[in-house]
Amino acid sequence: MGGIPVGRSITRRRFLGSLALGAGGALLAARSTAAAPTVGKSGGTLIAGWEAEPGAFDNDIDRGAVTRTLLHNIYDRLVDRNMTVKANQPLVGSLAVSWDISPDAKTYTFKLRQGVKFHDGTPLDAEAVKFNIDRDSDPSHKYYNKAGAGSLKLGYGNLASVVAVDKYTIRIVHKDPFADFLPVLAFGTYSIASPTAIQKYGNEDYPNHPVGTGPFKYVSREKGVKVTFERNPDYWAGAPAIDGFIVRPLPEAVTRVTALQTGEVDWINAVNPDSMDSVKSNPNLVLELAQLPNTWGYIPNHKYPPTTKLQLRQAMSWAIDRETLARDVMKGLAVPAKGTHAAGTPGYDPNITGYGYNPAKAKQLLADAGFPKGLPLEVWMPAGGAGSPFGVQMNEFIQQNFKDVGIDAKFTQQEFQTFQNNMANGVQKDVNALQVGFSVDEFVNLQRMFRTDLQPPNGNTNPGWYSNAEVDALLKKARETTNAEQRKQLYFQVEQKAVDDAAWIFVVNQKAARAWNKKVKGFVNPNSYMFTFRTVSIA
Amino acid sequence: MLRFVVARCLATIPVLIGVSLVVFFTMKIIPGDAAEVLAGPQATKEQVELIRQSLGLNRPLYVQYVTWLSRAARGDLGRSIQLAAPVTEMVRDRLKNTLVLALASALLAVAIAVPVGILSATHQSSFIDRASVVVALFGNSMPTFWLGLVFILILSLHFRLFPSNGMYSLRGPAGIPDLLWHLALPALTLCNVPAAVLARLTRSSLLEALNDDHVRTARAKGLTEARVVVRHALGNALLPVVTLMGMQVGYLLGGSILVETVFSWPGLGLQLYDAIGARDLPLVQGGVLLVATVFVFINLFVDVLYAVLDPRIRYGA
Repeated sequence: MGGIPVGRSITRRRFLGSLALGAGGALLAARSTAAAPTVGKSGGTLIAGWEAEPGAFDNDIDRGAVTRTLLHNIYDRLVDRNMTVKANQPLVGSLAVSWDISPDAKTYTFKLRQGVKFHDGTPLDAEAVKFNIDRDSDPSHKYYNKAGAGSLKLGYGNLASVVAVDKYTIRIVHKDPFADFLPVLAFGTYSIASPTAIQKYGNEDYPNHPVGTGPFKYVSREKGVKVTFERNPDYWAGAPAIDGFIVRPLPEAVTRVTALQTGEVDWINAVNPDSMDSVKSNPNLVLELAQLPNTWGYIPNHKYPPTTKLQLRQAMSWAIDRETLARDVMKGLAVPAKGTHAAGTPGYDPNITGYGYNPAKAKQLLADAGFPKGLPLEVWMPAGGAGSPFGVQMNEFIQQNFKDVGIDAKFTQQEFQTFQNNMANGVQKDVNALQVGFSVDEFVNLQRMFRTDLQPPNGNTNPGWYSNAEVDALLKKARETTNAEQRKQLYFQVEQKAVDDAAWIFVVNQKAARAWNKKVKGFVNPNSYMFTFRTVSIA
Repeated sequence: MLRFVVARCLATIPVLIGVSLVVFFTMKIIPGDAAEVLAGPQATKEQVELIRQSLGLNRPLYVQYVTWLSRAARGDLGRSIQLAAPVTEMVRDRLKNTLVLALASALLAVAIAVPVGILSATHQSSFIDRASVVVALFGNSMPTFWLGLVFILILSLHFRLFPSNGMYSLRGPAGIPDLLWHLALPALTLCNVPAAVLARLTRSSLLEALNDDHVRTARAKGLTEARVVVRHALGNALLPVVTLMGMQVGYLLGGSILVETVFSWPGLGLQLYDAIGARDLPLVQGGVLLVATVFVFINLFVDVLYAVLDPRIRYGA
């Protein structure tokens, strides 16, 4: 596959093929990639202000979103969500150009892109991909990575075999049907790394010398100061227009915004709400919001009363004034959640209307549940509130909402790891709900959130012990359904059931505020935690 | 003198062991361990246990402590979870930057505080004296991070006089002038509290010294007031200032967490802040141990310096 010319000449997105998921039956094939929509001139180095020092760049360990998005710049995966598309990013082929899926959804055969090389010159072939998968799934592999295996358990935790069929064909067989395997492979931590580099540096030191096939090469890191990346001139989908970019950790929000305003950096992540107006009013800057695939809410206790009563959970859902919360408390950095998936992200179902704000209805439901005079509830959350910079204020606002209908909720903050341990052990008798912020970016998350057999101790993502036989049957069918459209409809049914059951109290879907200097052209601000600088140029 | 120095050095040994005990066991009290952080939320309990074994976290606590301490004594503080690098290298590199900031702040504090203190003492109850009280009170009361942000908004954003962050420019040449330019705002922010405290101490200490008999004698000899102050009073008056300055270095190291975070100064404070946020326990442990050790040695240095300046101390020992 030849490269795509870059520079001024490329002004439109070019797809070589688009996703054929949903084309029916067992055979699913895709050939696609996306070229950079660049507008400015070639060259120049972008300086990006980051909200924290990124972690090491292992291809297979999740060190949080601030690190994970950089994996999308260094590495490729077999398949990818196309981050050069603003909303509903399609699943496209990346290092794989096409694939076959067996009717039982167990066997995946990928045809690899030919002519691709890692940044160190190692050719990308089936053996290289097998090396990567074995490293994170086979304890007998010489470079078996325990932490990587833990991180990738969802995708590689139940493999029957991984076979390099020929130089550019790899077959991955699961023990059980796994129709969601493709979107899982698109997660940043399923990045394919150079086997030569892993062998050269060993598991321990490899993260300091990351080598992928992505649009940018890692150059160096001066801890606390900068991480430097340079363009990969041989990138298979077309080399980036910029010479490279520098990540500058700027943890203090005001300093980050100031650095953008004074021109010390060109681009920043996580603009703080109090600075948004001053950024907007600056004629040299662009501020853009991105809807995140994030669901913030509460997981009720489905095992121990009183939250086992449907009417009580529904009353809690109707009691929350989500519009005011999103507008006033969160300064517009959120939208009311209707269900599991946010509008503008893959997996959103526009037919799900969720719960509005109706205190009268909430009171009636409370009475129906047997609590006409209200009741006390115990809610646990991690210190500072989970998953949002507004965590504490949000919980305080909702506490008042609850109080208005007669629910006297006591919120107890816990140290982070203690809270995590409670998630892993499941919510106990004396606690009525946990407050969480979840990244719900793919349908497969519904499996993790609602499957009865993934209740603790078999997982930590259904800590509220939710169990519904009908939902379990739908989820099982979804795991076995290779037709993407049919699978989507099954997941929509699961989501509707979860909303009807008030399996979670869905509150808001959060947004990210990112800003950049107007001289930065071509940046696509996707509805995702992930983004790429591949399409960027500097005017 | 030698006996005094040796005695003081020996006294640091139990202090350092105490420091290591506190640092080690404090980290053990915190829920969770490095294996859980490294494995991530999706890992099974078996996988976490495997990592725990490989890190030696399943062994008895006293064994872990002795192993950790003996490695630390040899300069091995383990590996950072978040950055996959040796903690010793990381904290060593960053300590250097913190010391640059702390030293600059200390010098700036002395440069501001001593003249102000002398002026206040020699012009007791004058406008200068009263103004210095107000300024010192202000300096002592302002939260460091707030003051840093105010400096950024006024001097960096509004007047564009100084950069808002970092130790040197990412664009353009980096050299000593560039470093000093970047140092200005964080050093000014960090020196605020020590400058205020030192100015008040210099004033009171000098006032006391000015009432000493030998000073009265000096005046009786017909020396000028300036000569009396500089030659005969200031030497004695600065003794407690030296001690307090040593104690303020502890403040400067501790205060650097806030100031370095506000200004993205790549020192140990910012590193600790990042490490705490990422739950990078080995890095937090190593960083805190290093800061505590540096503090112990600075105290030792101040003790010795005090003995050099004041013979009564070393003879008393």
